[in-house]
Formats: sequence, structure tokens, C-alpha cells
Amino acid sequence: MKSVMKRVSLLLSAVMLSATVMTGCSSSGEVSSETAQSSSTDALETASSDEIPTLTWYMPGNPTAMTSEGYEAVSEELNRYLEEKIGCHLELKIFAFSEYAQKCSTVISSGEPFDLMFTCDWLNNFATNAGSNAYLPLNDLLEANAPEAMADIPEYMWQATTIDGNIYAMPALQTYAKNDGLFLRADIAEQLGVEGSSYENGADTYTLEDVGNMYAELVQEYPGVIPDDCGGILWTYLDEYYGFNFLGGFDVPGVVRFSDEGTVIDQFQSEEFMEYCKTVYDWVQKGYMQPDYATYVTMTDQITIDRKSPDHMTYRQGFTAPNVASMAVSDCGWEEEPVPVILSEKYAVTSGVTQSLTAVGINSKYPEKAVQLYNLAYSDPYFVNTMIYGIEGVNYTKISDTEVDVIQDSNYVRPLEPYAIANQFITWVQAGAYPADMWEQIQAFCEDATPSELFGFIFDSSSVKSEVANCSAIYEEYKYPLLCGAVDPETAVPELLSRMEAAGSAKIIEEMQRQVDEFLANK
Amino acid sequence: MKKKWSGKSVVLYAVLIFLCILWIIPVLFIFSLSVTPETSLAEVGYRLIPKEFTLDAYTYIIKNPGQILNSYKISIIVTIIGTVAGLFVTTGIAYAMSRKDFACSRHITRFMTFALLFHGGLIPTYIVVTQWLHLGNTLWVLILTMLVSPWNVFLMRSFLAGIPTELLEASFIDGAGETQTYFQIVLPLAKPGLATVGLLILFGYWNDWYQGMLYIDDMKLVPLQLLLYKIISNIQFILQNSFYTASQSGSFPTIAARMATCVIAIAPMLFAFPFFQKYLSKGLTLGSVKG
Repeated sequence: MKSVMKRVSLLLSAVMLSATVMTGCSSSGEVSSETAQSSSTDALETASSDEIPTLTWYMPGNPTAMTSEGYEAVSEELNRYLEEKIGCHLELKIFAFSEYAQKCSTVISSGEPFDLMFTCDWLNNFATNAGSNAYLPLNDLLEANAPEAMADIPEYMWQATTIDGNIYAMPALQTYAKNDGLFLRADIAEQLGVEGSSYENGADTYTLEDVGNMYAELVQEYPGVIPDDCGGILWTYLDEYYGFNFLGGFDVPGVVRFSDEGTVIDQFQSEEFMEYCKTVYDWVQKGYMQPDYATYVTMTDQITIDRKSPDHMTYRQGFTAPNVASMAVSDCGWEEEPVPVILSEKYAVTSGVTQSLTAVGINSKYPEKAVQLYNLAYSDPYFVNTMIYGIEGVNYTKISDTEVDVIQDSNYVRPLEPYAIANQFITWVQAGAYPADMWEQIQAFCEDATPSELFGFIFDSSSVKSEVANCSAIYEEYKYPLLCGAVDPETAVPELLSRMEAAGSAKIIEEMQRQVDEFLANK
Repeated sequence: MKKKWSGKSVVLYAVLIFLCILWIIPVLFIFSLSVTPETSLAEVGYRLIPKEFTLDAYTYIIKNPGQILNSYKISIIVTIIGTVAGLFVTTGIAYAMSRKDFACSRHITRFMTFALLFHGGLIPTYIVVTQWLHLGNTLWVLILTMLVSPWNVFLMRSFLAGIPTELLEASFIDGAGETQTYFQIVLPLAKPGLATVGLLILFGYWNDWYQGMLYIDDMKLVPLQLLLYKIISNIQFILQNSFYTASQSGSFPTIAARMATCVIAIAPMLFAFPFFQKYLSKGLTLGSVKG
């Protein structure tokens, strides 16, 4: 009897389980049809009444730098301005960088309508979302609704956001050229007799060996001091130096050399990789870098503190441009502008553009307005700077045409990042932190960069998904010990290579080569 | 009588003291960092006993109250309403399950077991909450989404199952109805259970940031833990991805200010715990004196 009951209850549970699974399916189907219905009725309503539509724009930033009162005041001003310009209202959805990807993926998977969304290759992945139909193709909308952006953004930049002939996102103008290098504290550079490089493309560059020699001198001069900045994994700061164009990210095997962009090679098998591993291993041993560099790079708070230390001598970021020099001054508390030691030429690569894009949602009810809004952010300094800095007199004071003084204890303290919105070159800068003509300098910095032949190429990893995932997992495992010089490369590199090979690195290279050939043939 | 220290108890105490230190040190560190000036951090590094002492971080928070105090208020409201409502509903379900003479008790148990094992999944839940129930960006979403946890229901049921049926029968014979029996006999007897489950619910609500992250966009409704998450993890993310986010560095609160916010966030729970502790220790001994 008991066993019969048991079986019955088991059966019941099974029925319940399958019931929920099925409800899950049918409910999501219903939802989409319902939203479609409600959106069509909404459209009808807007058509009949004169109600002004409200557009939503998802952006990463620092929402804790504003209060809801501060946001409401800014929002009111933006809406007043937008009503006049394009007849819409704007709701900014600002999320912390750390929660942004999760938030966006939830919104996208649930089919919730949104109008504009920040997307890129390092956060809320552009290619993945475009591939899963989250974004609206913009080909027919741009010409009519975004004339300024179309005219000013170079043609090759649009290629970077085109997949299978569909333009899925609008690129932003920001620092799209990259070079490698570091900054030396002014008095240290003087003491070493280092004159520094100019920002001109390929002029007076140094080699990694030169840097090593500088460090050698410094550790001798100042015993106990660690000359290298140690923020971030050095390998990811040397791609241009070694002349590699990373096509699938740092964790995926497959790069081309800028000198020969038709041939895909495995960066981990290259001489340069071995050379790098040996150099960093050597530098850690010799005390040029933190003895526990492999763990140190993850301790962000410690890095922030150490940069403020009077013994800190160098500074490094993703690229070596005039604005990074200003960042060095504020992050390290230096009094004088540091001296740039540039290691490579400047290149404009796809990732320089795909690092800041904005897409229109597939379920957007007002795609034309959304594109117009983006175009306004692209061309109208007042609009974009109000988004960033808030209201004059309340949140900032204007110093000159391009400089503002942010009022630090107001209720809207620059919660957005200018590089994430349309056109960084028309945004104002914070007085004192940056020179007034910052963006002119940066524009000049970008303009003489060498464009990559593969500009616009995006590696589609869908056919080698598991190989990529496996290789990426192996990279993660070796990233800190090997790339931060904690283990001897003579043994670790071959080990890494044999594991990558077993995980199918050759297959990835082959697929990448096929796509590169196809891309170059169609060009 | 002189108490003897046997080798066994010495070892036991040593282990417990060691564990205690392991638990307390991080909290002390947070506190000491919150009163250390930034400049001293750069000079002498992290220290358990700060070399210099300052309350700047706390004055900073009190002077710029806006967001932090508002979030504090939200957290307190949500925690109080959530704990009371959650405890009420949880106990109600658990009581129904524990009554063997109730015809549906087995069905409810089965239903709860099912809910314990299976989940709606993130996206379907999100769709139901935001598009069907329209709870996005309301205070209710923070309370309702966490109202009942099957695990707590089962915990409560085992507490209630310990109440002898004879006691209930006696109460009915004396003329009490179901409601009166529940409130005047069952609940007072279940105090240790209520305290245990209540504390779990309380911590659950106080420490939760995930529901807020999913459903709350309006800074007015951001609870304290979510605010902390936004501040601290955002700084980490930006520094770790400085490769991309290289731009004008924003103004972040100093380490001391962040730690001071942490101290403020854990303080109410430190006070809440001793209040429940009285009942908790009773709960521990409840099983042993039975029978």
C-alpha cells in the first residue's frame, strides 16, 4: 500500500514539474504576444493623443554619485530641452558597471522594451546580443534620423558595428586609437636622463629593454622601491608593442601581426610570448615589480593606495595619450606632468571602436526617435553635457567654453562616463584635471594612427564555441601565475601550449583564418 | 567545587577561541580602516590598530546624508515589514503542514517540497514580477519576492511538530476555536522557533541586494546593501577594467568612507542578534527536555 502511495506521489511531482515547464514555455509565448499587442495599442494611443513618448536609455556609470532628487531635477531640464528639439522625454537608467551586464541580460532575455542601450565588447557584449536579435538593424533609420553622426563618423567605423550587412549599433567618438607605453614621474625621468616620447605616431619610441634598464637604475638608486606601476597584467598592455592585433580577445588564441594581417597565428606559440614571459619573470625576480605581482594585480584598493605613495614612480593605462597623463597626475598626486615613454606605433583597430557603442532595442516603440536622440547626443554639447554634469549653478559652474568645475557635494556629481555617450569630443572637461583643449589633442592623437587592414573585422566564434570556452578557461588558469611572472616560463609555457592544443587551439586558428580570408576578399 | 580543566575542554576552548578570532578580525579591520586617514594608509599600510585616528569618514557620511540615510531608511522599512509579514505567513503555512488531522496538510507539504527543489528561473520570474505583477521599482518588490522561503517553512514546521497534539485537543475541549488556539497556545509555545526563523528572515532581508539589483532602478528605493554593492564593486570593476574605462576618474568615496558605510550597515544586526539570542539558546535546549 505504502509503495503505491509513494509511486503516486512521485508521479504527482513529475506531473507538477512538467506542468511548470510547460507553463514556463507557454507563458513566455503569451508574454511576447501580449507585449506586442500592448505595444501596438500604445502606438495607436500615441498616434491619437499628443502625449510625448518617453524613451529609456540604459547606461553604465556611477549611480551612487547622484540622489533621486538630483536626477529628477536634471531629468526635468533634459525633458524640457528634448521636447523642444525632438519631441520626446528621456528616462536614463544608470547602473553601476559591476551590475550593468547582469541587468541588461535580464532585460534583453525578458523581452522588456528599451530604446537605447550602451553595449561594447567588454561589457554587455555587443556581438552576442546582436547575434541573439536583441538589437534593431539601423540601416534604414540612420540616413534620415542621424545626419550629423553619419557625416562625421568615418565609414570604416560603421563597418565595426555591421554584422551580416546589418548595422546593429552606433559607434561613439572617443579615443579609438591605441598605443603602448607608460608614464615616468617627471623628476625620475630627469634623473634618468629620459627625454620621453612625443605623441606623434611612431616618433621616438622606446623598447621594453630600455624600460628594463631604467628600472635597473632605479632599484639601484632607491633600494626597496618597486619602480613598475603593477596595475593590470603587463601582457595586456603590450599588444601594439609586439605588433599583434588581437582578433578574439586576450584569452582566445589567434592574432594577426600588423605587418602581415592576412595570416592568423597563435600568439601563445610566438617568440614574443615567450620573450614576454621571460621578461616579466625576470623583472619580478629582480624586484622591478611587486614580489607577489600575480596576486597584487587583483588588489585594486591596494593599487589605488600605492599609487598615492611618494615612492611611486610610474603609471600605466590601456593607452598612452595626453588624457592618461592627466589621469596619472590625479591618481598619483604628482605635481608635474609625467613624461610619456611610448613603446609602440599607434593603431586604430576594431576594438578601439567596439569599446563604446549604443544600440537600439528590437522592441523599441520609437526607433526613429531613439536614433534622433542619439544624434542629438552626438551633435549637441548642451544636451550631452547636461546629462553628464547636471544643471549649471547647482551641479557645476562653467569656467570656460570647455571647462567646468564640478560641485562635489551637490546631488548629481557626474554619474555618467563621457566616453560611453556618442561623442566624447564635444563633452566638457573638469577644470584643473585636464587641459581645456583635451579633446582636440585626443582627436589629433587618433587621427594620425595607422588603421588596421582588418578594421571592422569581428571574429564570429559560434562555430568553435566549445574550443573558445576551453582555451579561455585555460588562459584564466595561467593568466596570473604565468603572465605575472610567478612561475618559470621554461616549464609553464610548453605546458600551456600542450593544453591549449588539446583544447583545440588549432581549430580556432583555422576558423579565424577562414573568416579573415573571407573578410579581405570581400573588402 | 573547583572546576577542573580537562585536556579535552582546553582543546575545545582553544578551537572555539581561534574560530572566534577568525570571525572577529575582519570586522575589526573594517572598523579600524573606517577610522584611519587615507594618508596613513599609504605610509604604514593596513593595521588592526590604527596609528592615527580620525572620525572624518563618519562626519562625511553624516554631512552628506542624502543617499546613505535614504537607503538606510528603505532597508529598515523593508526589513521590519518583511520580517513581520514573512514570519506570519511562514508560520501559518508551517502550522497547516504540521497538523496531521488537517486533510490538505500532505498536499501543502508536497507543494512546499516541490518549491524547495525547483525554481521558476531568473528570466521567467523577472517577467512575472515586472510584466504581470507590475512590481518593478516599488517597495513591495523588495518585500514580496522574499516573503516565503520553503526552507524556513520546513524549519518552522519541525518546531511546531514538537508541540504535542494533546495540548491542542485540551485547548479545543476548553472551548477555544482554531484561531484562538493558534494565537494563544501554539505561537507562545513556538517562541524559540519564531526567534530562529525570524532571525533568518531578518538577516535575509537586511543583507539582500540581489532583488534590488534586478527590480529597482530608482535611487530613491535602493536599499543599503545594494548601495554598498554599487559603490564597492563598481570601484573594483572600474579599476580592474581600467584598460577600457580609462577616462576621467570619477570621485569615489575614500576607503575609510566605504568602510564606515559598512560599519553603519552591520551595526543594527549586531544589536538585533543579542535580542534574539535569549530565545535561540532556549531553542537549542528545547529538544533535550522533551519526553
